[in-house]
Amino acid sequence: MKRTLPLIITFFVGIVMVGEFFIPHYGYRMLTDEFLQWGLVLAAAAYLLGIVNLIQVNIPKITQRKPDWFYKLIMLLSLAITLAIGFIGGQDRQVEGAAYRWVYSSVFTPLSATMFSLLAFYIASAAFRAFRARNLDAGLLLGAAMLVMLARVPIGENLPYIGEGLGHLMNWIMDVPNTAARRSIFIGGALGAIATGLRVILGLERSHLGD
Amino acid sequence: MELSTATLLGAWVSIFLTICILSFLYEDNPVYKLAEHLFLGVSIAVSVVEAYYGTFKPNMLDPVGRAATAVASGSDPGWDAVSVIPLLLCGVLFLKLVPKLSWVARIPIAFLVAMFAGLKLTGEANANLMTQVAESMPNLGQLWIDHGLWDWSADGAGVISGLVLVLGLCACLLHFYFSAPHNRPLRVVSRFGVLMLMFGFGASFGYTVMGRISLAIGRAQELLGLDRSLEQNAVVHPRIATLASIVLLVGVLAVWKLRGGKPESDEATES
Repeated sequence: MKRTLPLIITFFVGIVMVGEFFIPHYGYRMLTDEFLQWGLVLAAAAYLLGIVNLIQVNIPKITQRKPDWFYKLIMLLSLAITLAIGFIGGQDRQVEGAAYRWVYSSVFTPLSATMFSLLAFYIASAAFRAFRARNLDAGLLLGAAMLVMLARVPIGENLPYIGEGLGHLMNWIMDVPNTAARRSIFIGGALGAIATGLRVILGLERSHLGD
Repeated sequence: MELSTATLLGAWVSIFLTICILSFLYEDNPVYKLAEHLFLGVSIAVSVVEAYYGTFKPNMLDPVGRAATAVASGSDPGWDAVSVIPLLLCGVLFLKLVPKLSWVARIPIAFLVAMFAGLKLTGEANANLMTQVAESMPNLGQLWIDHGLWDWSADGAGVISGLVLVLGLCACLLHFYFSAPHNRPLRVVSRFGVLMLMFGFGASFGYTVMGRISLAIGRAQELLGLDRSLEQNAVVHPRIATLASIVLLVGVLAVWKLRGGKPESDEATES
C-alpha cells in the first residue's frame, strides 16, 4: 500500500500525460490541462512546505545561539516581513507606492543583479588561471571566448580594418559551431529526459518516493 | 523635481546593499553575509508570493471558493468542484511533516513527478529531439541560391556553413556514442566533434561572461548615478550615497578586523 499506490498513481498519471501527444481530442486535452493545473498547484504548495522546513531547521539554531544564528534570524525576519507585505498588498502589491513593490525594486532587484554580476569577477579570475593555450582544444576554447568577448564590446567593434569582420566572425561562431555543439547537448539531454521519464512512469526509478 | 521619501530611501538602500555584496571581493565578511541572508529571505518570500498569486489562488483557491459559494446557495458548482482534488492533494502533501503519516505524502509527490515526467517525455521528444534534428538538416540548394558557398556579408551563411553545422553536429553526437569502441575511423570523427564542442563551449563562455559584465556595468551605473536623469540625481545624490556606503562599510570592516574577525574559510581551517 505504502509503495504500490504511489507507483500505480505514477503509472496512471504518466500514461495519461503521454497520451495527450497521441490523442488530439479536446476532451482529452481538457483532462491533461486539468492535471497540469493540479501539478502547478502542487509545485506551488511545495514552496510552502519548503518554508515550513526552513523554519523548522533554522529556529533551533537561533534559539540555541548556534554559529551564524544572527544571519539566520535576519533571513527569517526578511522572509516574514516580505511575505506579510506581499499578502497584505494582495493583487495591488505591484502598484506604484506599494510596500511590496518597494522591497522588490529596492532590495530584491539590486541584490540579485549584484549577486550575478559578482560572478563576472570570479569567472574572469578563474578563466585567467585556467585558460592556457596548451593544446589545440584549449586554444580553440580560448580563441572562441576571446573573439566573442572582443566582438561584443565597443573597442572590438571599432578596431580599424578588423572591427566589422570581428562582428561577422562572432555571429558565425555563434550560429554554426556553437549551434552544432549546443544542439548535440540538447539532443543528448532530450534522450536522457525521455529515458528518465520512461523509467519514472514504469516504476523503475523510485528515488522520488524515498526508496 | 520631487521624489517621495520611499523612492529616495529605496535608491540609498539599493546602493548600500550593492556595496555590501561587492564587499565580498575583499573577502567573506559579516556585512556581505548580512546582505546575502537578507537576499535569501526576500527572494524566497518573493517566489512564494508570486507562486501564490500566479498559481495557487487563480487555479485552486478561487475555483474552490466559487464552488463553495455555489453549494451554499444550492446551485450546481459545475467544473469548479474538481478543484477540491488539488486542495486535498496539497493537504496530503503537508502530511510529510507528520512522521507517522509521511508516507501518504508520496501520493501527491508521485502525481507531481509523473505529471512532469509524462509532459517532458513527449515535450522533449517533440521540441528538443525532432525539432532540433529537423532544423539541423540544411537545404543546401536554397543556401547555394541565396548565399553561394560562403557569404561574408551574411555572417558566413552558405553551403560551407550548412555542411559544417550538420557534420559538426553528427561528430559531436558520435563523440558521446559509447556503444562502440572509438577505434581509428570513429576516433577521427570524434576528434572533430571535440573541436566543435571546444569552439561551442568557448563561445558560450564568452557570451556568459559578457552577460555578467553587462550586469556589473548596470550596477556601476546605478552607483555613479548614470542610469538616472540629472534632475533625479540632484535629489538622490547617488555618488554621495555610494561614498557614504563605502565609508560606512570600510569602518565596519576595520572594526571587525581589529576585533580579530576572519573569513569563515580561515576559521574552518583553524578548527
